[in-house]
Amino acid sequence: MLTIRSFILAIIPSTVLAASTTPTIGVRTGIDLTALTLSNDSEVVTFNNFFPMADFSVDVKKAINDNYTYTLSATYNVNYLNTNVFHYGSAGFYADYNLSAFSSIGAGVNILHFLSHKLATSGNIHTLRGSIAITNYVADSIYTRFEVLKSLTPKGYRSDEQIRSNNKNDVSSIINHLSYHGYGVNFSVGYDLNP
Amino acid sequence: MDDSMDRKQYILILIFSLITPAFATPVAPAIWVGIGNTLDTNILPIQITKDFGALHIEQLSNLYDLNPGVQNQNQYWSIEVEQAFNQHVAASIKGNFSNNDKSIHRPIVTQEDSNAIELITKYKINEVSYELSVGLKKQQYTLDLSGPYIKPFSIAGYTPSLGLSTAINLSHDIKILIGMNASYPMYIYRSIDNNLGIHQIPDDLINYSTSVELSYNLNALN
Repeated sequence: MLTIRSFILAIIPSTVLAASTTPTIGVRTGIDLTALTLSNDSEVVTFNNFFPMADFSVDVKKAINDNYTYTLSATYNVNYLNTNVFHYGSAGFYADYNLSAFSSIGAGVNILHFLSHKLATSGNIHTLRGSIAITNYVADSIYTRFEVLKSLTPKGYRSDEQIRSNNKNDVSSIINHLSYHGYGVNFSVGYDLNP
Repeated sequence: MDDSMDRKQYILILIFSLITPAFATPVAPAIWVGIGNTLDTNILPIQITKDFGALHIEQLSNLYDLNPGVQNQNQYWSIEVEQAFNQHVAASIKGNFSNNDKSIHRPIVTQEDSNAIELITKYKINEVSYELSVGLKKQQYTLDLSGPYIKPFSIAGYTPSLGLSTAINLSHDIKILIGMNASYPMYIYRSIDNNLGIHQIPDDLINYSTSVELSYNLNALN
């Protein structure tokens, strides 16, 4: 089973060793929309009242040659469902094709992980997502990134076991073996710390 | 009367001033055709009832999530007429059309059709265009509630939308667009079957969708 730890451990060395140039580190912030459908074998709970929220990202970009750049990106964002607060973290690996010195289009994979939520007292929910992103440098160190994401996890895939929350105000129907499906969109502006 | 004339003159002058730059510019309009894919939440806040007469009205269904547990996905095609005013600024009018069979995936909705028109303003930096759009979408659903008294029927309604997207030119003739769109069902959906009552449930939910589209410039054929 692919976990976030093994994913990151596999990606980081390959990214760092792939080229000899110094990686460029960028920080980004913008708006993120993550649409949720959580289900187990007997229950389906669609969270319709999600809305765009701020997110914060760190990008590590490594130019392989004039045409290709690899990017390792980590993002944090938060959302609300009534009284429940969802904290998400996601990590992704992208291959960007440079159409010019300023603009690129990339594709990648991204793992979304629920860092904490009140639906359960332990366990986790995660999903693998595919991504398409457009990056554009509007100034020497300032860039924009527009990304759309879609769950690739098979419908039958279940995350680790959840334990019912002791909080009586929580959604009690969400119990064990949750599956996440959804899509997302992210529009953000970034700044290169070491251009 | 005078106020009305003033308003008409003002609107005519406004339209003329908006259109004139398009004709003044030496750049010919570009015509794009595209195919795309959308993902959305597809929330339909309506209640369906049937009047059986003599004060007997039965609630048949509340439809919030038309497809629980599964992402709603539609394919569409589009045509867009784009007028560039200079190397950075452009505007366009675009139509999106989709006709999707849902009978395989859905127990309730068997067909989803959508026709939309959008007005788009664009600002281009390098190969990337940042686009802001306002639109109006007509959606039509064919539903099969599988009840003993209900045949499959259709409902339709209009929805205004606001979009934000980014397009990148892969070449002079091909571009990829990715975007997000927010829409709010302000118009009460109507039933094509007069025996059914469609009641919009007050709700502040906004439908969000994402799209990915590949377009080709027809001017390249010349």
